[in-house]
Amino acid sequence: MLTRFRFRRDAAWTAALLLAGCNLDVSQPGLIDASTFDPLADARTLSMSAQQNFYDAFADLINSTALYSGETWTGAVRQESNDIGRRAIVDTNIDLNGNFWAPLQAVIATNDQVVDVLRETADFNVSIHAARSSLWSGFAIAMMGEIFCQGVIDVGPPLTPAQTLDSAIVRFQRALQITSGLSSAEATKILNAARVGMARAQLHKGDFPLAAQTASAVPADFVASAIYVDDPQSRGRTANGVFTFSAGTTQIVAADYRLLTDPRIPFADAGGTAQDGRSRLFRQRKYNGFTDPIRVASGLEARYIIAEARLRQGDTAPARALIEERRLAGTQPPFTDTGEPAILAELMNQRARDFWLEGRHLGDAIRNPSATPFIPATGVPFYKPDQGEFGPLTCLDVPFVEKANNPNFR
Amino acid sequence: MTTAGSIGSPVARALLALAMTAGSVAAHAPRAQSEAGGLLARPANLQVEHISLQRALQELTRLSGVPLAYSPSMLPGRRKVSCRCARVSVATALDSLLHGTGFAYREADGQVMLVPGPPGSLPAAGADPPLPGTAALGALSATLLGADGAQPPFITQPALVHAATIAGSVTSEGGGPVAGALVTSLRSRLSATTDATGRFRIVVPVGRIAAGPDALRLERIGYGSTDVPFELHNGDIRVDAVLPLQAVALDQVVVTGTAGNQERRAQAAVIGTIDAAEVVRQSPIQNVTQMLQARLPGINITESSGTTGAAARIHIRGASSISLSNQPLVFLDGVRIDGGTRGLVNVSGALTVGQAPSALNDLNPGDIESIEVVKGPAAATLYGADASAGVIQIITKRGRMGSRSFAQEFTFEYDHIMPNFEVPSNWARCTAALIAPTSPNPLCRGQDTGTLVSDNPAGRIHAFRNGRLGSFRYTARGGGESYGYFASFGIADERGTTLNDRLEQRSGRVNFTFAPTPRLTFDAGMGLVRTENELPRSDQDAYGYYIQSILGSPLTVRDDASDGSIRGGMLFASTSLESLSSIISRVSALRVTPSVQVRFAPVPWFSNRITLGADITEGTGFQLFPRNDQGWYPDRLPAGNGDVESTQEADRSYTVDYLGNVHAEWPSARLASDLSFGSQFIQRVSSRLSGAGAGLATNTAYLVTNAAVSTVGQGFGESRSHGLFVQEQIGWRDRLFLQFGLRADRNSAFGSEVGTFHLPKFGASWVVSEEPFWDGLSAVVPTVRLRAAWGTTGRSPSSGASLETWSTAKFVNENGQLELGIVPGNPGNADLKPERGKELELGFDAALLNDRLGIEFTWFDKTTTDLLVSVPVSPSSGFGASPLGNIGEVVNRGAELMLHATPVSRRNLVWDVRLNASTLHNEVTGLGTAGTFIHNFRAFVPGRQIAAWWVHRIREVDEAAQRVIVSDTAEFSGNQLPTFHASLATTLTLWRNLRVYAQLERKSGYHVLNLNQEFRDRSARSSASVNLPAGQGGYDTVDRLRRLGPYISERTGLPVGVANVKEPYVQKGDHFRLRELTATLALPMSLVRRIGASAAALTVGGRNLGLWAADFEGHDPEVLGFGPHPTGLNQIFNSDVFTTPPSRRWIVRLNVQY
Repeated sequence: MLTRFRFRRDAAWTAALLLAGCNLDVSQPGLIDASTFDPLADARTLSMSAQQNFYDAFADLINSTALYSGETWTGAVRQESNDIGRRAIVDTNIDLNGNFWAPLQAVIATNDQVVDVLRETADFNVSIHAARSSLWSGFAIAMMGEIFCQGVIDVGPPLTPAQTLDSAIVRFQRALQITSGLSSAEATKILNAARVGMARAQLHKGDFPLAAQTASAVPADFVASAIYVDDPQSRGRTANGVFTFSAGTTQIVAADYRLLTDPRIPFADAGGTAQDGRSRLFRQRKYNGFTDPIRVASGLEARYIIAEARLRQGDTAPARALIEERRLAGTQPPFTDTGEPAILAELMNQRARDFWLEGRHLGDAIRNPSATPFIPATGVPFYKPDQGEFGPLTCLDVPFVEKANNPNFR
Repeated sequence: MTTAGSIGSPVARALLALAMTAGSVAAHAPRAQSEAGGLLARPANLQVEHISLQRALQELTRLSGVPLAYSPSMLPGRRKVSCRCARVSVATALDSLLHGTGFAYREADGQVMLVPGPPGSLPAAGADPPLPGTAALGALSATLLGADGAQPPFITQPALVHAATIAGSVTSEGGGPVAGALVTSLRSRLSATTDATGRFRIVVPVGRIAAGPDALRLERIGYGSTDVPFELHNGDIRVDAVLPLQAVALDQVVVTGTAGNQERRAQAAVIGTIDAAEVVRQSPIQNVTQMLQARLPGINITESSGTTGAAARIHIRGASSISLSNQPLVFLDGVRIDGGTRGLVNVSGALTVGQAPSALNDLNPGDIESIEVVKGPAAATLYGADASAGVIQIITKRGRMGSRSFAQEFTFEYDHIMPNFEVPSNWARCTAALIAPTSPNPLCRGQDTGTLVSDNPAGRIHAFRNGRLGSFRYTARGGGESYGYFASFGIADERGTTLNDRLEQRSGRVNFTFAPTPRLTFDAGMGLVRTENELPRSDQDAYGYYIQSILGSPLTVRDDASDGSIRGGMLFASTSLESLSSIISRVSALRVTPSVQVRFAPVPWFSNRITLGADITEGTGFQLFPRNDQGWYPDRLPAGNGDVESTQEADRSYTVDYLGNVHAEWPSARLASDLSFGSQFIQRVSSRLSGAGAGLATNTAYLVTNAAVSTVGQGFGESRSHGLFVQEQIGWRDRLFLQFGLRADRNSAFGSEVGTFHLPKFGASWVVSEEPFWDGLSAVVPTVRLRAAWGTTGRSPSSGASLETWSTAKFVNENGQLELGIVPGNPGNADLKPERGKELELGFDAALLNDRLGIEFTWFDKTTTDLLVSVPVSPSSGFGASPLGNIGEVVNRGAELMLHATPVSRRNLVWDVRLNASTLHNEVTGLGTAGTFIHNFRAFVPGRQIAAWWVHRIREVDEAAQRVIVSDTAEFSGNQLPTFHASLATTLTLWRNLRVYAQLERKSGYHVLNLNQEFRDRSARSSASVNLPAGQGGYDTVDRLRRLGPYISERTGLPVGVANVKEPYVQKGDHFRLRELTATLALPMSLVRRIGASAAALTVGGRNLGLWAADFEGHDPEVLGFGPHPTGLNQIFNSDVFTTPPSRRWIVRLNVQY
């Protein structure tokens, strides 16, 4: 009898334990389940987050393209950095994806996603969020079109640079379209930035009349910048990444630029050697803090676009005028050469100075390879001679990770 | 919890429990003395055929309920008996079984004792091995001495013992001492453990025990259990006993992954057992990881670094998973505990969690009785859908219930820790700017331009120095009539080989066993440990001693300070010993591991076991880069202002486990059945709160809130798993066993709506040597068992892995202020399910050469299907994380061999050898739609080993053109996982009190990426090989081209990045290592008695004393520059990336027993 009782008690206890273990629903407060998030209601959050993706990627791209196109030297001991500096990279170079490609792709995907979410809404055509995201997606695609041999958008097929730039232009047009009906300060900023971006894409694509026309609508004093703050826990995302990178010991202002003694290229001797222990460290001083903004689009760039586009159409006047003005800013004597190639070279020279560490130089060099200065020639010994020679300057290959995981590349 | 090695089998335990009331018996009593209505008259219920006499007696005890006391070593070991005694009395059954053996039996005081009969009753020569008389036993000698040294008369009347001391020694058959044997007086229930010389001493309490016949039971892993009769009386009693070798312990109980009949003979899959107490006694080990290292075949432990307290990587039977952890599950006395890393600060650079403290090593090795290792799915099915990487069960020491004894042990240890490597010098040629008389560089000043100079900053600042360990352990063990207890306390202070490398550990454990009735037993245990680990920066972190030293340059050395001191030469100009040692990276943890286990058998055929337990850790991480005005930390901005991080983490894990067993027998059919069923519920919760601040006013106010800018972070994770299982085990004649089992599992990773995961298992075990047809071979091969097992387990991802998620990310708003935003996180996978590991295991156990050679051979074939792969997504998808997908398949196949031999066993020389060897064929056999992918020079390619090295290969060195032609794409360049692993351990016992032990280890068939050398050769150009001429230690022309390029693609003719041609630095990791060497001297008894102790031993030795790795150019091929990652692709990344190599240590240890 006693045994039977104990057996029942034991069985009851066992059953209770088994039941207690059946609840497998756990709380995950650290996760944001996509199904619980309403992207429509939080379109601003999505769009502003995507805008920050651009600000972050923009700084990354400035640093990376500066190294590749000779604006800066590397003082790092990482061999990948040396390989990029001497333009000897293959598609499996991990920095090619991490520092060039992936940041741009994150900008494109997130901003396009905002636009896709809002597209079905009634006020899409007046949505500042849609305009904002169209703008930054456009810029990211335009930059991809400028420097990569092929473009890819949202796991799509490989695009030629021209197709890529067309995709950027479509986004800029959408931004223009939306903001033309809005009157806020941000809308005006987006409007003019989109004009600059579109003109930039058109110029790179070779549509010179269109580029000049688009750029001519931009006010001369217009400036749109990526803005940053100092937050120790999110410096990698919200601080001026060019300043952050240069504050270390691995980025050196290239000799070609140091020798210019141009106030547009401020730098300082850090008084020691870089990380590699042998290169003297010269730090950039264009950006002097985590919160310094970086110019993305401006009236000045619009004027450069107009000058170059007109020059390529045979009209040298705008270029000569701009050169005159910019040489003055650089404390240079007047420019006297009148030949079109020389004017183009000088225009690119001034552009290299004005937009130093603003992420234009590599695109310029690809667009005007023979006219763009301060690019070490192929076969010339690298500034660390034991590393070999500079390779040919070409557009960048699509990273292996994109080729391997994008079904359109198989 | 029953522990392997403590009490042999359930039958033995029953005998022990029931032999407590043994009374007097005459040694040469009549053959049978039955008392009417007594034990001998009970029904025998026995039906056996052609089994060993010992097994038959065990069966008789089990089936009749009558306790039998006898010495197994005295029984004719190879005698096979049959007895159709289902309806006869125990006496009749014994008459049948003992016929011709010379043994008599007698009922006395609640048991039946079997004793040698008169000389005339011994069997005739040739019938069976002759049984020696009591005075001249080949395998046993029991000498009874009275208080005056004379032979005492036989005691026929019970009388209280006034004072008795039982002392003696236990030796092997060859005469060598057997240390660590458990010696138990069956009547008094007092017990002791033999010391290093095999001696033991049991003091019988005054007036507690009646004089009369008693027996000592001797038990030790590796030897057969033996009972030695003696006469208990007043005064000193000397009992010297010999333990027979038992190369294959089929009756040993294993508790991990087993249910029903837990004897090894019934287990279809191999379960490795480590005799932890023995390892602690003779090996120079400091933690549990080292206890596991190279003790069992198939377990590959990579120490990872020389940082004190850092975790190691543990792989059992290869790597089964790409994205999930390959670390085994860890259980402590049946309760799931954390055996991973404690990554509360990151000292290894941004990409890794590298040298994180080990949670496994929180456990005090001195608390551990044994460790059982379940190697794969074939045996791990009962652990559910998360056990495919194996299971490690740690069994702590228990009290001596019923022993009425108390023993204590003190262990003192001092270790001298040496860096075991020399940091190479840096080389460079003087520049024109540095040769001037005013140059701050003392190396180049006054030299010619281009003069080659060298500097060794690590040596100059004394970066690496000798460390030390001081430790103390105390254990107490004992018990009373119905209870037992074990208590321990440990303290260890270790200083590593750099200034801020320190581990302090305080641990305690109390285990208590209480058995109010024979049917009910409570086991309660509680472990408590406090660890504080200060870690130096290491691996790729820029402030590591090693990276700062080897990537420096002689050209930055300066002597222009006001005090004339030499500075510089490091990676950063501002680096000094003071700057590196001032960084604080500290991890502290307070951990408690309570457990309760209840075993209840309401009726003999139905037993229950319920285990409740927890593993609760409160951890804190603290990191401080102090404020300074020297520019010490140039990349921590704002430079010099100081920054601080503080993290608090609470990890809790709860286990509820139930196991029931219904035993049934059909004697007529000689069948036994064990139907087992159970449930296991495990919940794990982890929460973390962290703060970071930058800009300190002073270094004394280092709270995060004291910083100019401070931020906070929080994390939380929870997982639950629930499994139900049922297993049927059928035994036929106690020598053929079949198992069928099924476990059903659910896991929170997939949510409640996802179906149950079913895990079947099958197995068979056959003790061939107990079959009649084996009789002819039993003289040569006394024991052979064949086994086969097939089973399934899995591996589950973390909770939420199936969900599409967003991640938080801050943004700057229109007003220049921060807001919290979101970005795409993980694309998720709604169809996610656990990885499924299936394993077929075949093997045999055999004893040869009169039990002097034991062989355990296993062949395994493990296939992981539904492989969870973090499939790299196309970057253009915009997602920041790679989703998990059930894609592909990995095979791990190999053979494991364990040999244990005692080639020499003489009185003054015993030589014991253990060889473990295993092979591994690891191959990715499919990746489904994911296809090949490459991650950091490692590829996941069907047909190759998991994470095989994949780099651009050198096709041709064109010396004339001074260029190197390389493959256009990356190609296979070597394996990551060793394909062969072996260890050889040997022990020499000399003159019975000196034991010399050594362990050699071999790993081969794998490659290591030597990034140290690559950086020094290629980027820093600071290595001697690059700077010195070919004849003086420098590379010759061809080798220089191979390593430095320039590299040209064979297809395009375009330059290929130097970083992509890693072939010269993917180097063979094959090596031999003298892992352990010790000498243990048992101190003379005269000295021991002077301090009132019962035994004392002094051990001196060393660890990591020799390394032979001919093809590896670094310090040690076993470092893990990316740390022992718990999950992710980097968990399989054998690379030397500025990691401090494992250190060498010399130890002195004194052990005193009371």
